[in-house]
Amino acid sequence: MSALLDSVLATAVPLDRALLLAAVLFSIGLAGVTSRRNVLIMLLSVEIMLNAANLALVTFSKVHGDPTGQVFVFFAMTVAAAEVAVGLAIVIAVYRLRRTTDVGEVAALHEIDYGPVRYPQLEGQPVHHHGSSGNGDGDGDAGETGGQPAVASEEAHG
Amino acid sequence: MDASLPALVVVVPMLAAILTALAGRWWRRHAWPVALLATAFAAAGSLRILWRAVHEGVVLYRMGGWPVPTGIPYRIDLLNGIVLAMVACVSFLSVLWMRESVKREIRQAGQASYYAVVLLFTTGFLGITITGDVFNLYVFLEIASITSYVLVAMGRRREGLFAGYQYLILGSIGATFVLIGIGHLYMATGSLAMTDIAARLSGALVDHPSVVHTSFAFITVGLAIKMALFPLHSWQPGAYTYAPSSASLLMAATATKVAAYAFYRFAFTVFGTHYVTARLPQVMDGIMVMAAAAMVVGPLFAVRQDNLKRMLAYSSVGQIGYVVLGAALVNASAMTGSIAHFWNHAASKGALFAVVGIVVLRSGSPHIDNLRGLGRRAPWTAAAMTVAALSLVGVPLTGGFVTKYYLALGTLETGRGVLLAFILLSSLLTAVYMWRCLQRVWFADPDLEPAVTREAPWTMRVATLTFGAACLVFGVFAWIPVDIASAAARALLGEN
Repeated sequence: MSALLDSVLATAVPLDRALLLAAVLFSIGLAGVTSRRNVLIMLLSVEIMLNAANLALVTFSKVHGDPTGQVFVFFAMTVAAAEVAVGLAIVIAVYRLRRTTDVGEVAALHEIDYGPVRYPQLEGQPVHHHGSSGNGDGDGDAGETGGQPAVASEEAHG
Repeated sequence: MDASLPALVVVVPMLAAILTALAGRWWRRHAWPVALLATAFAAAGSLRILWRAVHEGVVLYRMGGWPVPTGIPYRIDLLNGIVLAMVACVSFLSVLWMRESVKREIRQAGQASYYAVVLLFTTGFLGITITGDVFNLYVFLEIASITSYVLVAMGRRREGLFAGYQYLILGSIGATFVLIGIGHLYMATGSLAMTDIAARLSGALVDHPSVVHTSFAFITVGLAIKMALFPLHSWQPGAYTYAPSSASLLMAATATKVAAYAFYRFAFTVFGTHYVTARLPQVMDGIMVMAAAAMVVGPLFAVRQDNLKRMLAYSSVGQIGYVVLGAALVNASAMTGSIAHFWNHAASKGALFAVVGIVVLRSGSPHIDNLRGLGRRAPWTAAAMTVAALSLVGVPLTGGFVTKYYLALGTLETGRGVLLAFILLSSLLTAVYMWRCLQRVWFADPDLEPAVTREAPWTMRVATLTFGAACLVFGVFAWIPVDIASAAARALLGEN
């Protein structure tokens, strides 16, 4: 067993190959995030980019013969985990609203931009209508009925 | 206490965040006071640190007493003293401001967590500012960024979800770039403490110049995404528009400027003035072009917006140009203007987002027409908005004028007078969109029923007026920010 381990360690990957792999991973991630339309795959692509950076860090620490770089990778991985957690939470919330993971369709949420942004009506708070608020806002109103519960009214009065 | 203040300023908001998140389930009403106390401590502590940095020189704190290349140093000179005071004071005022707004805009069950995220956000930005270790800076940058994504996505408008997602993707790419840059820096120098890297860099430039250049390029692009420097600003308008009003206020007044600070720190402390002027001047020229473009394009987009939050977000795209231009010119006068703008922009943008938040609270929408008659029904709020708008335009006796004066001086001193045209055009366009607001505030048709019928609650009013008063103080007593900023600029450039 130890002989096997020794032989594996002796034929370790050359450092320039490891850096090349990091560069390839980074490019794959960048290509994915710019060309794919699926929100999940975009998130995965970003994580691949981050892992390319981690791989580079490990390689650099090997160059210096200094384990600090590898310790930093653990921090970077923790950070990446937090990022994925937040990213997935948002993706799930988006999916529940739209039943799609296509970034173009999700971005339709943005189209309401061109009209005035009206916030959901709050109890005891008159909503002021303007001459210009009729068009472009319909999508938002339609979405409003299906989703989140309104804020509890006793809280709204402050 | 005084000696360990640099650590406490970061640790107290972090512990308060954990406390708020855990206890918030049962004692929801205590979340706001805890957050207020923690940020008040951070604000007082950071002002005390700034005072020490001004009077006693660089404040150095070693985490756990470890010597510098091994352990993490917290190192506060004038530059990050200024930014630290800005972040902490803005956080305190924003938390003071946000109580009513959070009750209105955040689901009841989420309110305690919201304050916890706000405190972590503050911790992240305080940490970026205070640390003297590049990897520690990356970790705090990620803490700050991840909490920003959460804050944006917590808005009641569902567009906030997509704005948060877009911000997450672009922000993560930016963070990855920064991490790769830091990795290359570590490769070239074998160290992560800023002063230590700076000392070893000349040797590294002889041995592996391309590694150092790659590192600078990656860090610059990564931070440009984080600071929403045109043309990498696409995440910002959506994020500021759909975030809850309190998050817009907090982020607009701190987030992008702290990334700009990190750029100053990397360019002038880590890589050094000689490196950016003599070895790689093209990067600074490129940054200068981007900053000049941002100064004009941001306001140009802002003029067309009817949504006040979106208007102010585009305004921020323009204003970050002022903060970065001083760095790009590598000139003491211009840099004085830019560093003073850390405070001036925080004051004016803080006041404006606070007013817009009040409009949203009282009328339900940030549409520009909801400002009509604000001067009649809520004179204090309207006064704060007017002062902040004048400061943003750069009228004399307000903070914005001080920035523009020193920037203009710097462009002439470096023989780049053409930039003066950009500064003037930017001010002109800013005047146009701010006038659209002020005209509705003060000169609306008196027959129209105002959308905001009464003044804001006192917590909001106090915070908003403090932001507004700061715009005036930094303009009338201009020597306060200018003396510190000019000393900071000279220290960065190595002139004395």
